[in-house]
Amino acid sequence: MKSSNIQKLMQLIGANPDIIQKNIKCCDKNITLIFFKSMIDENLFVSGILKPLTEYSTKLESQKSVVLSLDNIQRELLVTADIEKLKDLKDMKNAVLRNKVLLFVDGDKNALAIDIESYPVRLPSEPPTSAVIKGPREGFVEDIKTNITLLKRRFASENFTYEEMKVGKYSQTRVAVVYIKGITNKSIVRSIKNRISKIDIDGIIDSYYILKFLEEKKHSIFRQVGSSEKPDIVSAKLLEGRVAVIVDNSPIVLTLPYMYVEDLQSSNDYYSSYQYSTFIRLIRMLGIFIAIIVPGFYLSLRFYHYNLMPFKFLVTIGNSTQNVPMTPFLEIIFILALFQLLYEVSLRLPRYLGLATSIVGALILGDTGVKAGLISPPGVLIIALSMICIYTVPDQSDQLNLVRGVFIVLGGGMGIFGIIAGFIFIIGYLNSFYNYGSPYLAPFSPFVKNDLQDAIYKATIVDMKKRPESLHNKNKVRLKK
Amino acid sequence: MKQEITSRQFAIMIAMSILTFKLTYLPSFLFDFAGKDGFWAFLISLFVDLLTFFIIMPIFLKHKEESFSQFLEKRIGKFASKIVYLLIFLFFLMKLIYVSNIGYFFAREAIFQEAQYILFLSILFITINALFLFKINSYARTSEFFYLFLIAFFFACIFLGILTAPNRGFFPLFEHSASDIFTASWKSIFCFGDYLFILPFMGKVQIEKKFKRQLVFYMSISFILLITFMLTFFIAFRYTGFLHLPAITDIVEFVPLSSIIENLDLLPITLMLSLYVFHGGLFMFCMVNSVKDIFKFKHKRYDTRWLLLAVNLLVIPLLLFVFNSYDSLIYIAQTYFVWITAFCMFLIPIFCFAISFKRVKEAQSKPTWAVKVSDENLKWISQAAKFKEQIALTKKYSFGGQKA
Repeated sequence: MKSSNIQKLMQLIGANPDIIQKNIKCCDKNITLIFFKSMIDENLFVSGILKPLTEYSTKLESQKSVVLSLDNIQRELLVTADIEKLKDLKDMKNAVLRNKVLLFVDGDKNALAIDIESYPVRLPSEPPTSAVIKGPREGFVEDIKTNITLLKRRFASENFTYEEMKVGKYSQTRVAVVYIKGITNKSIVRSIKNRISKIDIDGIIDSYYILKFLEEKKHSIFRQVGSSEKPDIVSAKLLEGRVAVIVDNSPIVLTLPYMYVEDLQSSNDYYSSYQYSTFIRLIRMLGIFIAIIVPGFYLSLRFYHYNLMPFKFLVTIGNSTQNVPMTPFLEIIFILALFQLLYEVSLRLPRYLGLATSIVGALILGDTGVKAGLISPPGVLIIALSMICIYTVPDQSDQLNLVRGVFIVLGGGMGIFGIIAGFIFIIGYLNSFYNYGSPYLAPFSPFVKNDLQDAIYKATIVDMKKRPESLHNKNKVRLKK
Repeated sequence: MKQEITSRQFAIMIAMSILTFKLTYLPSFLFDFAGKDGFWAFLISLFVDLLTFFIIMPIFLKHKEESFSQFLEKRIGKFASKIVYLLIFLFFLMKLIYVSNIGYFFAREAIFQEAQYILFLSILFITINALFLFKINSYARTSEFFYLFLIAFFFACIFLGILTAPNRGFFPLFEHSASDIFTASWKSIFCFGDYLFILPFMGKVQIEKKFKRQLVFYMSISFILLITFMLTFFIAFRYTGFLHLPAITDIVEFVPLSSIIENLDLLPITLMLSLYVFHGGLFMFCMVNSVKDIFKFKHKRYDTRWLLLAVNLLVIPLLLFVFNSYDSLIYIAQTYFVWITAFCMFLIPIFCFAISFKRVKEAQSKPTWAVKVSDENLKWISQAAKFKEQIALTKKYSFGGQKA
């Protein structure tokens, strides 16, 4: 029976040079171990399985009355934390594929699945996308177990809950839905789990594969799922009543529901004085505004509303643009395309070549272009300013880039009216969003007075007595008197 | 009835609607007929307009859980209701035509000499149609989002205007006869009638406890700023008021401190163009809903989007071929629009006020909650009713509440 189970299992797994079937003789019984050689901790395999089995065999030979069974082995012999008794062949197959060691004993159709999985894991380090001046410097890694540990050590409470699911027909990727029971609205958790369970895909390589399935509006350019590489940020979001989705093999943890105001917040804000944080948030707002509006506005001034420009400005711009052979619209598009190309190249080139690209881009192309009279200094200045300002909110850079393009067309085509109409259109569109029941632009519209304490104005932790109302939490009180 | 708009958002919508038509061409129209005494004509019109608000609001509050169509059809029947919808449709059609045209003339006059009429209308209609398609709660939130900025801009414009004003004289007043003042008031009445849009919003607003307070607060801000603005205009442009068509832009443009504070025309321009877009969206909403109520299509094919397209196909040709010049628009506005406005802004509210007292038999025999609760709840309610708790349950499960 047992051997037929092993044969069936080996047939199910298929030919694989990495798989090992090891037989050990113990108390006149055969013990068979099946595992992937490259995916286990060899030291633990020897010290935690092989050595105890051999020693136990010697011990049992002297006590003839004791029978060797899976239960005995599980109870007395193996000290590995994660051991599970499996009865179903399919479960056994999945356990081997999930890099567990299967242990069969002669005459028993069941098996023990022992978790001594080991693979190279990066140590938690400061994520390059969210460097901080103050505050914790650890970041998530690609291993789901480590990521859950990083969160769990911040919550010594039974309410810290995570539910694991497997997604992907071939990848069987582990996806954990993490939340704090008693704070998070259950319907949000249910909805997220429901969406994840419905995913029928061949494989999940990264959390961004899951992201698209969690979005309410699939084709929108605006991001609808929050993400972070820092455990302190995700912990803070969990305490606000959000849900985190951790995907194995990804250092990016997703958080839901997401609201636009989250992008104005940075972890630095919570470790600085509230006055400074408020000021910095205003600067970020200004950054977004400059990034998307200024190129279009510049075009509208150049094309239609030069009378709105102060006279000295008009003269300066007139002097520096009079010899440019292109129309202002083409000039701006040309400079923008140039900057975007340089950006793409610098991302993909090896670091030592990146510096050379910057020099070529900034000094040679920009400077020579201006000196040759092909492009004007104000045009370069406007686009450079806009490009820099986009990175005041790095998570929004993709969509801000696209929105800026729209405003360039509107500003060039219809002047200020185009920009105003475009702005109203976009705000109207964003206002039509609901993210798991939370309005996208809250607390600004709809106006939620309580949530303004952590929007542009950043209140002190002493004053933030309630959790965000926009999230419809079960437990609203955060700080009692 | 799904109540999609909060009290605050609705109060803001009303407060914004008070401003739109009065900041650009109205002051010069008033000046045309009554000189500086046009200020009194303005106050008279504002007061008369406010009277209609006091007629509409009690109906709105009393029947807060009924839609406008339910309110009318229960009381005057389907056919008569359709006539009211038609009048409302015509009123808002006229308003939309006026706002679209005046928006274009303002843009051309203030900043945009090369503005193409078709391009302007395209952008305006794309935006207002989009606001309609994003649903009314999205429109209300967008108004809420922009309100603070727009009021700040308006305040800044008035402040700059006040800087201009003290150098000039406002007195003596009453140089014109009462007849001139009333003529000015009558001829510019098409710039009023701002509260009629409240009726199509019946049943769509969550009436919270603070509603009246919020309404008074936001409307007071609008009134104070508006009266200050008018006063500033008439003081600043003593004898040349009729020349200053885009009033709010000119107030800022003629600030004597412009050499210090540079060119601030952008403030009134942004303010006015935004208000025109918002008002266009509001009128579009009222028009499409009126069409929907007139025809009462049951088939899904006649979806709101098709009605929106139909309304666009009616309005855009009118704008392109009939109302395409400033002179003809103003002529039509001061002759025909005046009558339509006066007829609709007084007659419809008074009529609705009168019929609101009519007892509705149907409502007594069949409680409104009975059609909305689920079967399971209905069973439970009927059991509970045996214990003489019917009145309390009726309140709890009335279809305005969340639990139904």
